Amino acid sequence: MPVKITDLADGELARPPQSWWTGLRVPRYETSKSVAGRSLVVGYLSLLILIPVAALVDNAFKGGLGAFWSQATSAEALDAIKLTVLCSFVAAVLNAVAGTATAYVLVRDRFLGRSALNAIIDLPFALPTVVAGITFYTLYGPHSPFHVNITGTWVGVTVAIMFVTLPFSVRSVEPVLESLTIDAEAAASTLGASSIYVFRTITLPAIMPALLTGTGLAFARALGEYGSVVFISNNIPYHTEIASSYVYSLVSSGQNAAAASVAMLLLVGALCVLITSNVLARTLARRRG
Amino acid sequence: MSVSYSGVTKSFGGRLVLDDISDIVNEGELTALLGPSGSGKSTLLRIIAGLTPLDSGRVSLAGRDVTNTPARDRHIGFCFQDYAPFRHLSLRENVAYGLKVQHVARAQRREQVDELLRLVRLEEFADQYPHQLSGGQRQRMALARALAIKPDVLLLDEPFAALDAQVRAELRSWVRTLQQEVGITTILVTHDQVEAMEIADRLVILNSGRIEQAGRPSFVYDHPATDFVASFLGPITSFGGISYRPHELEIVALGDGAESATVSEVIRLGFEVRVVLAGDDGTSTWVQLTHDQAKHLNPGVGQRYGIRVRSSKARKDAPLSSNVDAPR
Repeated sequence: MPVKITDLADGELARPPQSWWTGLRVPRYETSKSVAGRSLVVGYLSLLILIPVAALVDNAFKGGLGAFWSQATSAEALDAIKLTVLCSFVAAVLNAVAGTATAYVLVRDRFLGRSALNAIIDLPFALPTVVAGITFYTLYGPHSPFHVNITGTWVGVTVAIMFVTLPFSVRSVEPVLESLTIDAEAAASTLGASSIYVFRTITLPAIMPALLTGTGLAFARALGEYGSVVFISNNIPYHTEIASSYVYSLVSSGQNAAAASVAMLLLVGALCVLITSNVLARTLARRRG
Repeated sequence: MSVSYSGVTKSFGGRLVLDDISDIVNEGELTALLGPSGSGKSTLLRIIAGLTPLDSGRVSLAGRDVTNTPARDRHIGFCFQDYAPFRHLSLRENVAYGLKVQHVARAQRREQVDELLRLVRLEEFADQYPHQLSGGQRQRMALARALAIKPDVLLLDEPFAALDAQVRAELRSWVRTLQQEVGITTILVTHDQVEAMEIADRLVILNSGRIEQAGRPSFVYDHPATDFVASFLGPITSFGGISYRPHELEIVALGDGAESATVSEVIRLGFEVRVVLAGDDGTSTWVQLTHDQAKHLNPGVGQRYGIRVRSSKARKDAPLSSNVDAPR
């Protein structure tokens, strides 16, 4: 073709630096010189997060590494942790699917009661978890009006956790869906793709980083859930006792070090989940700039 | 493949965007839908592609009614204004998308994509992601992606609007050459009349949801059907109560049957010089001179000249239209 194109080399534009944590590009600001502001933030975070965590670590390791390990991995502790992780994982995965569908409907559809639905999504955040727990116990307990009794089963625990963590999934995916140009999906359809294929190949990859982050948050949050689960689980040791209520029972019987050890294990688990989901999300996000 | 649409009507939230539009685009032609923003040209393009449903009317491809055919079955290539790149896919995967949908075998797919990348001069960027490409490169990627499915019709929505002037000019003539080489029926939406006149075989000029005029660019320029078309396609000025293109008038020495006028402003744009004159009846007229003509005449503010219709370029038929304001 006898046509000359000369703009081949202009692809490299000045790029803002990437955040090491999220992989997103952040604008460069002048470095703040305010020592007062920085110490205020550090002091606040220390009071709120660092000091309590340090106290927990201290408590957990009071009797040495051996004591920590035997307390954290006692038969009852392991069963409680196993149940908690399993139910949290199932709840997070189911919520990832349901949350994406909910966000999709909220962003793409215009219908009567849309803003009401939008407000209801946040209800689990606002509602005291104990209220949710009692409600579930009334609805799906031994005196259920529907004759559905899921108390003392892992299904009951999972349902309670799903209720509490749904907003994480919806609210993480929603803004990404909102910013996603419909044109990319339209382009795929002009290329012959069916709507299911478009969702699988265009929409889902676009929301994947946010979905991973949201699911990780929900999973981590679920590991320590207490109020909503405690009534429906019946707390049968070795059977339907969740980790947080095991910790509570340890504290009640004065076994503070053992309680701190199990709590420590939960904390490390939650951190691992958060870091993994963030690293995965970052790797995906970085590739597309 | 020819494209025709008739009686196309569309409103958004009570506002009529397209009002009973009909036209036929012949096979292999490049038609430009030209109009100001809000004239409904992009909506019309999306309706042809099946991306926007219409309220009433029909769309046909090669005589086959496709009004109720979904976009994915129309076999129309569409380039979006923002190029709509698949951001999580590399350039190669973007171009291959349509072939993958058609289940083209891997080896054959690779061969076809390589050929397309050569066609749009992006071979060396095959493994880059859209955010690593410049605007012009993304534009060519969108073009290659649309052409990959060997569409019957190519639709381009403001393809050059987001590019800077130099890239735009280059890409414009390149797209024209490409279109003629592939021989594909193409409809291009633009608000830039220079772009439309340069690239199109045929212009369709839209204004507030209606077709003002359709025809060959040179014909429409010389014979605008309405005041809107006349002023939208190029500068016009009024002389003796009649509208002319400024280059159709000339400045001569006083007398000789010319209307006398006083120079009120001289604007030098390098390649052309605009001389604004005030007639003795108080009307303002402007005349476009070439650089050489201006140098020869050397008009200055306050000097008096005669204005007349250039004899060599005088219209054999009716002038543009009457009652048109002088341009800025």
